[in-house]
Amino acid sequence: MALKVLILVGGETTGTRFRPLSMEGPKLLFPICGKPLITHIIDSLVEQLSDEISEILLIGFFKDSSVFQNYIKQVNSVYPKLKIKYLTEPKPLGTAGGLYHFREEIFTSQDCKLLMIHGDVICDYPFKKMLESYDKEKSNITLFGLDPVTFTKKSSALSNASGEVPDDEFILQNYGAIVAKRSTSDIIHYVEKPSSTISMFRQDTKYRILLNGGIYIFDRSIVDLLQEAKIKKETSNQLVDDVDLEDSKSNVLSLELDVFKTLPQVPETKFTVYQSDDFWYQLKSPVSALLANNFFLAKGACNTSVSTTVEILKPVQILDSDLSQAGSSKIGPNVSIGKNVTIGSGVRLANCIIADDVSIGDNTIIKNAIVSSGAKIGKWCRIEGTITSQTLAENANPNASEGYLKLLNNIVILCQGTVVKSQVFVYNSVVLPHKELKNDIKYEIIM
Amino acid sequence: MKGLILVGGYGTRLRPLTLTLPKPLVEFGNRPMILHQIEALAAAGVTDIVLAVNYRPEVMVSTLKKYEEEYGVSITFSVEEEPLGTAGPLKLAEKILKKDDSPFFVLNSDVICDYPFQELADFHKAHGAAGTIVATKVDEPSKYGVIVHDRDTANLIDRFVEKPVEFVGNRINAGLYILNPSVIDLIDMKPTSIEKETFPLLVEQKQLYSFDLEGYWMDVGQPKDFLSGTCLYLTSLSKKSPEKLCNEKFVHGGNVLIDPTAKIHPSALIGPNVTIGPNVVVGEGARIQRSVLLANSEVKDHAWVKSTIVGWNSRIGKWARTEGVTVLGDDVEVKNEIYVNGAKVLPHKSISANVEHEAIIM
Repeated sequence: MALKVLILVGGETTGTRFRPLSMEGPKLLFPICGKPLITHIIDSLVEQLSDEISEILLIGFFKDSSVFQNYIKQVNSVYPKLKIKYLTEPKPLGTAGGLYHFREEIFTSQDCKLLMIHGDVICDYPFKKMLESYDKEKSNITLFGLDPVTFTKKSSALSNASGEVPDDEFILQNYGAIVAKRSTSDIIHYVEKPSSTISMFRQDTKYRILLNGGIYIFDRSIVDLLQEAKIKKETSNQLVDDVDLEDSKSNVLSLELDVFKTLPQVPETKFTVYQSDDFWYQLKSPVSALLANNFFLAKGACNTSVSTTVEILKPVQILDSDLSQAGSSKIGPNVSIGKNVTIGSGVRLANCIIADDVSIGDNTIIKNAIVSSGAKIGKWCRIEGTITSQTLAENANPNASEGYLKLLNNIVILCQGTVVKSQVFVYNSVVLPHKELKNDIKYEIIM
Repeated sequence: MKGLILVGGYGTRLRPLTLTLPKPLVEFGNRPMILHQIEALAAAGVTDIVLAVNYRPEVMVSTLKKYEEEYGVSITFSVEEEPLGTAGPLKLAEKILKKDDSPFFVLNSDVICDYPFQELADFHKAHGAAGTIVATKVDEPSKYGVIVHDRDTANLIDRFVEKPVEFVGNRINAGLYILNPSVIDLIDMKPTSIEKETFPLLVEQKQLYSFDLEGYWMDVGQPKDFLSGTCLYLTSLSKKSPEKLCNEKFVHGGNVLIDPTAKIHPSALIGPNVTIGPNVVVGEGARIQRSVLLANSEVKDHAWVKSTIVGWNSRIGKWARTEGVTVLGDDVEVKNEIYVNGAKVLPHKSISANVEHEAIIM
């Protein structure tokens, strides 16, 4: 039985909340714990399901597809036997539009199964277990569901939160809510970003409420369901008789709004949930990149084979970089250092991502920061964000744009090619690519 | 000859340092502030020094006892029961100041400069009038009381103009005087301002001259000026006695005064304008600029310290950064990696979170 994998990678118009880091390239290609998030997904897929996977498809709507074509070449250099390709949506088609548009390419055989994942999902990727559950339940469609309570606990535990955790009601309002029976895996109700409609289920101990975690398994029946949804949508659009609306939206299909919502009422479709109680997160803002970095560092094998004069506080990952001059430095926890990075003596790094080709001068301290590739930082600099566990926990709400702006003020982001002169202090600021900083900046965005 | 030093009260402007030590004993350029003045007075032949104080802390009495012997002077405390202004203390110390006919010096204890007492005494004798005040040139005379001279007689003061709107001159009262004992007769035993009440009387009688001060001048009564004054003092020292300054490899930009008992890691970078007191320890890769490190303090590895007064026994942690006229009182700890900007920290506190803006840490 063939297994196809579909990874949604978005386009130029998505990932704006990841700015300024998404200005240098697609969000999913930004290195987190030494490699792009999408590579973490692909590595997990190959590790768990290499025998079953017949092809991996990346679907997105980047006008310039060369970035992903190049990326695919890199993947193939690691996994030469893996079939992987990038498909460009003619325009943004919604969470299901791409799947429908490329349906023939995806479902090449009648018994083909499809594993679909949003490219910005960060978790343990229990693909194999989810697939086993799918087969066991003889499901048509299985969603990856998260317990909202463990979700908030795990995500804040990772950020060492001691303080408040947003309540699960609040969390539910920002995700798709799945209502399933406790006794079986069957989904009896699905609401996208519910306000209060599910409160009746919350009182009832027969049911459990889970969040839609953005990973799905489908069989070919999804194509028919999408077909129906599309017809239904077109009909209603005709009723509205709005030419502009039809023009822009006719091909847009939402899995959540157009399909899942109606599924519990379709008796011939077996609609189930696979529940996970582990950490789950999404790569949305730059802050979540730090959180994701911490997550992969915590679970990954850390390479800490550096000279004994460097004090390492795990977890730390150092790729192929020169630490021969880094005597008396102290690195960690939660630091990932890319390739070809030079670090001077007496440097302090904590809770940060240092991308490739960065140089850091003697006695400099960097905390709660993302330093993009090619940045040059002088001696006695202080690059400091003041993010706290509290703010990180609040970031669990992905739609609170005000919160996001606040968070942006609590880390430092130095984009590609930033030059920071010696002794300069960069505090809770964002620096766009190729700027030179000669004076201290605090709470600024440098264009 | 005789001298009177106006010490005054609790030195609250220089807190938190003066919560631990009376202001005259706070080290400026690694020596108690008042010692600079006592030494200069003694060098000019003064044998009797009166300290006009509002209170008399024991530590000051015992310390100054030592200096009496060292410099061969007699030091008397003249304690005001109630504040007597800047002229009243002269009256209070009448017995000593009038014990002979020789003129006496008066100085404000906050003023630092190259005290020109010998030249001042010579100048005073030469013109023969009752009083001479030292005048220093300032860039912004509009903030001060400006001296206007007589048209015909050189250096004779014609009047004072308080905070002039139009330019009338740029010489101001530097807070150092030499006066004949007869001046005391103009003062009553009550709160009196020498600048606003006594001097105008002398001006009226054409009995007050001014003497131009060469070089730097600073009132170091508050932390910001204490640091600026240190820069001026060190610059002056670099010209007059460069051998007293440190010229080790770790010095950057000069003007660095280090007590021989201090331990500086060779990879640190220090200067310009830094004084480091006895038994101070500076760690590996530390960077110190425009700061004063008082006795027994420590700046740990990779810390960055600028425009900071580090109080006695205080410690600045690894990779910490302090700046913006931060003043650490006695036995203050700044934890590793912390940023402190413009904080005034009271003794025995520990700072474990960033201080971003000017603040008083109680």
